[in-house]
Amino acid sequence: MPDLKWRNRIMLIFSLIFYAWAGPVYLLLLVGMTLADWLVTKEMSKCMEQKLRKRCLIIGCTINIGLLCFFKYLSFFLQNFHNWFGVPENVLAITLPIGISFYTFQLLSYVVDVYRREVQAQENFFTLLLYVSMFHQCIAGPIVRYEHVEKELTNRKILRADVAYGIRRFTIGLAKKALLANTCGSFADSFLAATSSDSIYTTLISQPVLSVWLGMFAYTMQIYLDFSAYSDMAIGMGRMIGFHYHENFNYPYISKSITEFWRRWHISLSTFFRDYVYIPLGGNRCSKLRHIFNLLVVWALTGFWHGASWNFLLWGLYYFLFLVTEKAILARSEFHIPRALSRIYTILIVSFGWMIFRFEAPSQILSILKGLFGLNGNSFTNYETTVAFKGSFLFFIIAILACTPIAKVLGERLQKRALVEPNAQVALQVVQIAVPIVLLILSTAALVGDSYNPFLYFRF
Amino acid sequence: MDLRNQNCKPKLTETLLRKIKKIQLRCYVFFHHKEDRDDFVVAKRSTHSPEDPKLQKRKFTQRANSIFFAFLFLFSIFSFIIPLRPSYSDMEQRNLTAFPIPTAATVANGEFFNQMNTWFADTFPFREAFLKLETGITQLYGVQTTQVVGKVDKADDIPDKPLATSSEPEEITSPDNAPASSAGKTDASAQQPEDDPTIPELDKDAKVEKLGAVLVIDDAAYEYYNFDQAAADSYIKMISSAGSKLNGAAHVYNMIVPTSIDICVPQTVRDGINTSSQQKALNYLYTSMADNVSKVDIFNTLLKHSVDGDYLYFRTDHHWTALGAYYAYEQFCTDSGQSAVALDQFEEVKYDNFRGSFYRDTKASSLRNHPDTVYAYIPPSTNTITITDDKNSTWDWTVVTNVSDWASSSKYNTFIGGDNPLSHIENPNKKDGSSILLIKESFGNSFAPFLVENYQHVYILDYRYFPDVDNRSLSEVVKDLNINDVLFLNNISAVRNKSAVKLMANLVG
Repeated sequence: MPDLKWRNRIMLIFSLIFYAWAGPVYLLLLVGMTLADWLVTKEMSKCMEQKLRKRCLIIGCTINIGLLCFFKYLSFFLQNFHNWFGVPENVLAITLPIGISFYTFQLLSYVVDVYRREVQAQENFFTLLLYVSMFHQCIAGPIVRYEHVEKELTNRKILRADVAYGIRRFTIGLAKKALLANTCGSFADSFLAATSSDSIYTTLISQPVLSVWLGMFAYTMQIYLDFSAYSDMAIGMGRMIGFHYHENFNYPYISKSITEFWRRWHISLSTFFRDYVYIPLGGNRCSKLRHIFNLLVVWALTGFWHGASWNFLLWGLYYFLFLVTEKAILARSEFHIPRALSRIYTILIVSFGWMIFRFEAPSQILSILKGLFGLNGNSFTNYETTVAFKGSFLFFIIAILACTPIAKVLGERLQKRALVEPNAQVALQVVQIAVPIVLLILSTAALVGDSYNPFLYFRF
Repeated sequence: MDLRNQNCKPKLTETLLRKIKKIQLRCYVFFHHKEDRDDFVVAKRSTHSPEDPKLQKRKFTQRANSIFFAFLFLFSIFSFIIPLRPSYSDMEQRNLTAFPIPTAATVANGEFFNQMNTWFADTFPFREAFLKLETGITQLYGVQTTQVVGKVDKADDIPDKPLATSSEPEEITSPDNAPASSAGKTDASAQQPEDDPTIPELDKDAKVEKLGAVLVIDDAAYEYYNFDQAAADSYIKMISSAGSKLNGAAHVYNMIVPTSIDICVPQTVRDGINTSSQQKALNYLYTSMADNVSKVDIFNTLLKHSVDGDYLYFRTDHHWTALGAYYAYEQFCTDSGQSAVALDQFEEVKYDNFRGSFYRDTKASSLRNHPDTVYAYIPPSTNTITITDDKNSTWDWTVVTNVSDWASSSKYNTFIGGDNPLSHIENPNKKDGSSILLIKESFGNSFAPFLVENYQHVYILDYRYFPDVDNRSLSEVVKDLNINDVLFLNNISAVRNKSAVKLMANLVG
């Protein structure tokens, strides 16, 4: 086994090449931000005085957040300024460097954790750069906290069982994306996207009721399958070389409440905001009013992190309302709702939330709302919708099952049986060898044929 | 890592020693204690079992990992074998993405790498096999005897009253996507006529059309039609203008061909489909046109023959068959006061295994498994046509070409050598100087051969390609060629396509 130093160097070079593939210029930004933070934390570790350390922290955070705001939010603010005040004349369009939201937050977690003395400042710049640019998670993966991988950066064990697990996890993620998410996406687009001659709004108000519902659920599944697939692939690839990233999704669509949903969805993001915004602001250990204010800040930021557009902010506040309401209601224990109903409630709220997430214009969101309740003057269904539904209902059953832990439960049961039954053991072994290869071939077939391969979280 | 090696070494020698001991004991037992052998062997095995599963598991995991990585490695090598990568897709009738050339600009903004990604996916080895695998999987998604491929555009309501025609054609504003009613421009222009034609290569500039939404019911496909008020009105004005410009010089006829969705689909299904009524649209178009244009309305004729079970439209392609075109020719003769030549006077040839534009766009296996047959009818007077191609060279070709060896997607090109700017068929048996100018898109190809028997000169002008080689207006062409009759032949999808109507309007002048 080659030396860890060389393995890290190779990983670093390939991660940088991978990042540069999307646009070499922005690689400089990534390296520059990492360099700045490395210098800042180096200075911090040298200082003993709290005031000086705090100053370093402020410099580091300002650079990170400043650059993020510049590249991501400046155009948005300028555009709105222009709309309200007519100034400035020309709003310059700034291209968003890929993955900036993810790696900026990773760097922030590093700097703040060094300040809080929870981790040691990384002495080697290239190791820090490896942490930031690691191709597993740089672009769409979980927001990996520095404290989770601090030790593994310089000391990893590669176990055969880990590699096997990583292979399985990666190919499952790849199949989820190529086979399931993309199909859900094209289905959603067939109802919710603009055609070659109609605008989005025209398409939406002329859809029958069933189309709106199907489109909404298809998009709901697409977002989960897509995003969790990236996390699966990142975690799988990480395991293959000895990194243990934390889970980012825990079957969020089986949640029984919005509170639970946010404990299962994009866990790395919600824990980031909890640890670095919510708790420093006071969390829930303060007056009720202040508590609500803290929640408001966190959810506005969560929404806004997803994109520089008003509908993302609205989406965050949408969840803020439900979370506050749930906190108020669930506090009283006399409310006991059957589990099935609470799951239905959650999935409906979440699905409509995704409609706010998807459509930028309020008119489009309103037309969706009208369509859901049959208030847009269209029939329940039409020929094309019925045909589309009939042609895909088996697929949807599989997609829905993929959103539940059923596959995981069955897999665990098979593993338990395999410990005692030789037949089950053979079955398990066959599955463990054949499934990754089959999934790889099927995913290749799907990706080769599909010119449609949207990267949903591309605004991050 | 070092720590682990140290632990491994003593274990290795221990295991080896243990194995040697085992063999020793076994040999001893084998040679000496026959009666106790079985018990002894069984006992020996049981003391080993706690270790075996773990060791076995580790060995298995190692093997499984190796198998996967070996497969991945071979697959990667395979995907980089450049000669295996196709450059043209017969199924999709297009040139696949070429490897991009890096320039400083495209490398800096990532475009070069993006193109490389597209190239990698687009020209993957055995792409067609993978595509077939993919469509095979998608077929399992549900019951797909009927499917709609593509997005159905919203249609305007068709007015009940005809348009009040003005004298000038309206300026058509921004054109849409490319005309939707052309067949792939063929190579007939690229080759000189030989005894056995080779499989054509698609011209780089060929306007391969993108169809609108396509409905597939069992083994037949139909294209949706959405009425567009603005395009329809522009078309009306254009035709009326042609009529007034050629008034006195030539007799102007207009034939709009309906598509199969309103002719072949059973009424019960047709009522539920979100497509505009072509009969109503044709009615609106014809009644709004100026009186100096003669209308040839073939809707009811085709409907009647379709009900009789005639093969009027291809199932896998958006064109009509030569038989459908023949019935239209009969109607045209009736409307223009001529007598139609009977179909049995023409020599019938047929070419099997035609899978056209609908198959290309939907890749439906029901269409792949039930291809069309192209029946063509050679005029008894002559089978020679003179073609002026897009490079302005003129050469002779056949009116009906033997396409049995051609690619499955290209068999419609049997008719008049495909789409060319201007072609001329002269009937040697006629000396009356009668001539007709057929202004058409690809639907005119199967129609043109029938005109040969009624006119000495049949001129065929494809308004999509004619401006590339000749900038004469319609009136000038009519004057230069001494045309008696002018027939505009379009399928109804062209009439709702603003770019197509604009091209015609530019020709009319």
